Amino acid sequence: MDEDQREFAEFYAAAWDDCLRIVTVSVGNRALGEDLVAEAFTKAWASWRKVRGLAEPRAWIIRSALNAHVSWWRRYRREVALGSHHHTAATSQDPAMDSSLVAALRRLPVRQRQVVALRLLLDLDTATTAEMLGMSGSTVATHLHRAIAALRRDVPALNDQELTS
Amino acid sequence: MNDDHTFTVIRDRLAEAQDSLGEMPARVPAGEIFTRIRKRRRRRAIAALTAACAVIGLALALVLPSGTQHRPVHAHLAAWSVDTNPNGTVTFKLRNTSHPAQLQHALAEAGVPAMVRWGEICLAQGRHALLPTQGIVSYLNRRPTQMSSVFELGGSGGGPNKSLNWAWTITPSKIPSNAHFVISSIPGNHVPANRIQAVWEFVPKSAHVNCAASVKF
Repeated sequence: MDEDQREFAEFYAAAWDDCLRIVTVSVGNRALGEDLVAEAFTKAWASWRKVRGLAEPRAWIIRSALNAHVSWWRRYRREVALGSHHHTAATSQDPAMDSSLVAALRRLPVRQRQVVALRLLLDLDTATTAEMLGMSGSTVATHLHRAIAALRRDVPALNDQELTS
Repeated sequence: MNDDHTFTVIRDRLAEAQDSLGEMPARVPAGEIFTRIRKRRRRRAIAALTAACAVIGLALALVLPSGTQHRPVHAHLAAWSVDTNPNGTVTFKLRNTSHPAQLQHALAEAGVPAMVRWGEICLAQGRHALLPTQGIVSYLNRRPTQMSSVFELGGSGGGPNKSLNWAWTITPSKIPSNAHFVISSIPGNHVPANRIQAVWEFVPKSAHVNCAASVKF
């Protein structure tokens, strides 16, 4: 194993858990989250020289996984539309995934979901989030504001600081 | 409730959701990721190589002369001559078909596909195979005067060699890709009366051609 591989393996071991939890909460399905995160790490290794130099490589993994989720969802919808099968869409057996807040998070547009994932779940600051998503700080703030507004609208309990679970 | 407060509440609640997921060990070892990328890179390299080969092949096909491309020819023998004219037509004069391979090669280079035989008479089976020559062949010496897809010259019964003295102008660009000339002759002093001394036909390349030392006229 060369130096790059060793470095990547260390990053993989350290970042897998965080990335998978955040992606799973964002997509609402553990198995799907694992597939998305594994594929994102595979892409990261393919571009390791670029990814290793980023301010927050975990954010790259999460963004990549959530982008892949959009592609997955489009393909899934087309397959369901074309076929007559009754697929069970990305639902989870995890009780945590049944939370109305998590369900509302999944309904957010992908960019808002990415901002929430990086700002709230990965706890990055606005500047790093903006850098990782390739947008300005004000755009991050706008997405976050809209995401919070949507979550408050979808989960009335937030206004009472009582979340359904 | 303002955004900041909601921000904190949402973050805490989502953190709880994450924590409730339990153990989430990586099922894919890092080595498997390295292998995946190696395989993908190999597949891409093969695909790129295949595409490059296709592009090079196409470029060569466009740039290099193909087997059917012809060039100006000026070949003169006592028995025949082949000359490419400035307008792209070919003047072909035939007295006999000696040196048949050389003649066939000269005609081919000039853009006139032909099968040439010397010492035997070759005929396509079935005259239905003959193709029209209008616009492709014109006779310079008006022998024969009528346009035809076949011309035969009878033998002299073992007498002196009849000179063919055939002269044509051929337009290679109008020759269909699937057609060729079949030209053959026998020395006149070897041809009995009522036997063919020389013949040419314009027929499809796919037509079956029979050759014989002696063919009835």
